[in-house]
Amino acid sequence: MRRREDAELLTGKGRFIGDLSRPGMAHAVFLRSPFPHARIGSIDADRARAMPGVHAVLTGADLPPDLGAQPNTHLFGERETPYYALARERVRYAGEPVAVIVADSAYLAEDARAQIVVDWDPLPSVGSVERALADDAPLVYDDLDWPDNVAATFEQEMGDVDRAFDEADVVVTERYRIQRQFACSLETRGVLAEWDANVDELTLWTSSQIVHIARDLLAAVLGLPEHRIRVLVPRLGGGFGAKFHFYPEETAVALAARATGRPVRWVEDRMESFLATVHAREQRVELSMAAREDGTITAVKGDLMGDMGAALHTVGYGPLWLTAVMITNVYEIPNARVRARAVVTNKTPLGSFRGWGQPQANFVVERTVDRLARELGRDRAELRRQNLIPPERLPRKSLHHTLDSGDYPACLDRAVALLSERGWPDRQGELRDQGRHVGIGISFYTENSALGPSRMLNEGGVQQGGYDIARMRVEPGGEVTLYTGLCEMGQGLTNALTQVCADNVGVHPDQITVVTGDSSQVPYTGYGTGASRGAAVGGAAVMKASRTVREKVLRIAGHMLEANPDDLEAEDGTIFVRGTRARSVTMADVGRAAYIRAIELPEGEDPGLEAIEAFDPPQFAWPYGANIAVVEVDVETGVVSFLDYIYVHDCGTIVNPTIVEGQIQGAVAQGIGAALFESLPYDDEGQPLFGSFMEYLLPTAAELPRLAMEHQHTPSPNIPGGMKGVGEAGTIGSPAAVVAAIEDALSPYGVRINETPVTPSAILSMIAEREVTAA
Amino acid sequence: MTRRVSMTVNGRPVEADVEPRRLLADFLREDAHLYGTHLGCEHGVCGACTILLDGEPVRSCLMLAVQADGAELTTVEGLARADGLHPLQEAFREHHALQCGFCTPGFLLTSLYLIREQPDLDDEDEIREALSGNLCRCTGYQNIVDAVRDAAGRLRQESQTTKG
Repeated sequence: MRRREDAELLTGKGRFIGDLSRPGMAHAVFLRSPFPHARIGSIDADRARAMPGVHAVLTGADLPPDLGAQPNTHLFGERETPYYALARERVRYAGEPVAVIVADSAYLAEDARAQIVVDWDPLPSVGSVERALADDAPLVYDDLDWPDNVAATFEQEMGDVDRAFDEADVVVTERYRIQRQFACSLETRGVLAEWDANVDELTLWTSSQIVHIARDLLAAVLGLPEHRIRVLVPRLGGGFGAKFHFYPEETAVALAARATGRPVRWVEDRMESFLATVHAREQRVELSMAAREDGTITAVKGDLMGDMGAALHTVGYGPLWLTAVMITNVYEIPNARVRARAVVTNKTPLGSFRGWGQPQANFVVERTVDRLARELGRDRAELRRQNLIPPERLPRKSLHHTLDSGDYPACLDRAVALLSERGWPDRQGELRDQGRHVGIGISFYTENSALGPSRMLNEGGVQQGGYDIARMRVEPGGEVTLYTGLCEMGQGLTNALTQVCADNVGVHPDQITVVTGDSSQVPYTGYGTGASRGAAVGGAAVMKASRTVREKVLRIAGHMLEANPDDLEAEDGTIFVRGTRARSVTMADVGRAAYIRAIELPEGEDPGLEAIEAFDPPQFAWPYGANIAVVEVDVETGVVSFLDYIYVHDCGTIVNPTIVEGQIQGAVAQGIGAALFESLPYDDEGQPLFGSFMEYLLPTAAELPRLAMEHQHTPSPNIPGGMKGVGEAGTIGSPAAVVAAIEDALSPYGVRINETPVTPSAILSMIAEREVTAA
Repeated sequence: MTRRVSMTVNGRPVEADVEPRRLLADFLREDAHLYGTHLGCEHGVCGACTILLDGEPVRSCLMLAVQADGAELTTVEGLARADGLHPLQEAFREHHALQCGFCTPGFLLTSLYLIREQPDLDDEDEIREALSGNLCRCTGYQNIVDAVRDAAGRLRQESQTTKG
């Protein structure tokens, strides 16, 4: 099936947030803190306000006194880290918004911004968890009397970890550093707000993955009833989790629209995005693994530190929590203990990025399994296979979740077989004999998807549901309108939902229109668009609504055809008696009866042809897969190039293979970016050492491999339709596989790589270090 | 202080009074209302705003509108033909070479130039190298590479048919 949005996007007709305008619209820009930590003295904006074409300058002092702090919806027991639409008295990270300037054009607003004078009083600051946890560390929240910089400590344990370590034949311990990255969708964020003062209603267009959540949070912050706010989401130029958050700019632009009486639009510029959009990933992890001599892993324990930046954003320390509870990956490890500390620093707040905490968990576990294999002199794939949970022992509870279904060993075996079929590792040997540095790296992942069971989320502290609600309507003319609270951000979700709807109601996909991104039209979705839940949870809700409507369609058609509804089939908009297409009515006939000619309805049947159904998954789903990377390292330049990349996975029922493959290709690219290039470094004080695409390197076509991909299919036992979800999968196992391959390629030098990104200069210095040691 | 600029965009004359500092990309989007040219970085790295200026690819975020005075421009809106999509657009659609579509206009115009310059283009590594000035965050590029190779083939065939 062709994607329905492609023709529009290919001809330049897609309308993104930056393409929208309203009559009389003004443009906003933000003045941001240049300091990681400072008291704000006076702000002199008189000259800016007096400039022609300038409509308003708002600062923290101009905010309504009862304005709420920006909310965190993931409450796991942590200290509060209040921050507002605009900083009040204090800034805690470079880039924190301090003032919003509204003018006739963004050019004029920037001119006016340059005229604002702020009297800053810089304060001591911290730019890393190591520094933040030092005894004499400056405190990020000294004004709130925090005793240290730890916002929360999370601990969980199963089994008897100490005993397992005491009795172990082998113990390996490694320390890992995972860098800061961010989602970096190619479209930055943006907001357009229009406030109707006559009725005190706000319309907010925003580049968001969370239509209703954004509306509700904004309502809470502004003290408005939810239905006074209409949130609209235009085309999104990618989201990848960063647009899952509710940002200060959404509140500030709404307030600017109210203050000026005009529609106001703000579009984040790229430089700004590096500081203003949530960062992700950064952790320090110490991981220990205990095993018996025969290779059985008996226990794992992890000590995690998450660099949360200056505040807990919309999802709190959720990603760090997820890393912690996935510390046994897919292995049958009976004993596990984790401690995770959410540490605040004077850096941009940490938040969501495709995969959340899972790439980190996978990296530290998989790299440690490699270490164990080396320690035991075992083949890396074989050691994994030995410890994978066998299919007959699924479902199985791990630290927090219950892994659901599948055949992990079969998946790993297929990936390894594919590696052989493609000529590796023989070719590796030949190339090595020629003096080339070729390496193979393996990882196995699982993905926490179909998020999630609402009760479980609420019990855990998440102030959001995990269900989805779909509304599906057959119109009088027989066409179908499908309403979903999930957002299309480029992943093609609306196509998958269209297919599910078409199959379950019996119309052709071309007869279906999907409505998204309008809080006044679409049903509420518990958790917004993320956590690989669209196809699974959204798809199941669409399936339920479509089936409910179909039953009514068949009842009405049965009455019209004088046939038993059980004997009817519906296909491509025609309803016919099974076996004889001669006796049929069309969906338009049924629609007409349902809305216009009630006289044609069966006795007692209500008019209308519409259903609204919720689906709340009873369990999460757990897709899984194997990544195998084959790389070559140029030891003169430190450059890594891919020779092959194998990806074998199982994401349950696949609705649309093309879209699934596209999701994996794109996500693996982001995982490779994590492994090799992308980083947001700060100095010790929290000054950013990046600011453009010259420092933040996204992978290009020249660096990335072609994927050799195979699918396996174990339908989810908990999701109607069997879909498990796939959106994040590719980001999870790829960093570990790539880094393992580099380490393998550099085996003559005996390097250990526990830190990403593995840049050319990092490789050259590792080699140089080993050469010095050897000499 | 403004200056009058006039240029031909997608075969149509466009005129406006602009400030000398106005970016060409902003001119195309805000003055000519051609929103298909997207801004992904405004510092010349991502390539989303790539257009053709007198047949050569340029980054419209790195040029001022006044510098394009008198020039002939092609944007993504000028690509489709009277009877449907351009073969390059068709190939992108068939190969699922776009997801969110934000980078797509830049890729299309870069590729159009590339195929015109090298009608024999077929080698994957060459295509990858030639596309490495455009960033895509969704696709991992594999399908874009396939689409460009396929489009080059289609256009070769088309030109042979025309000649024959």
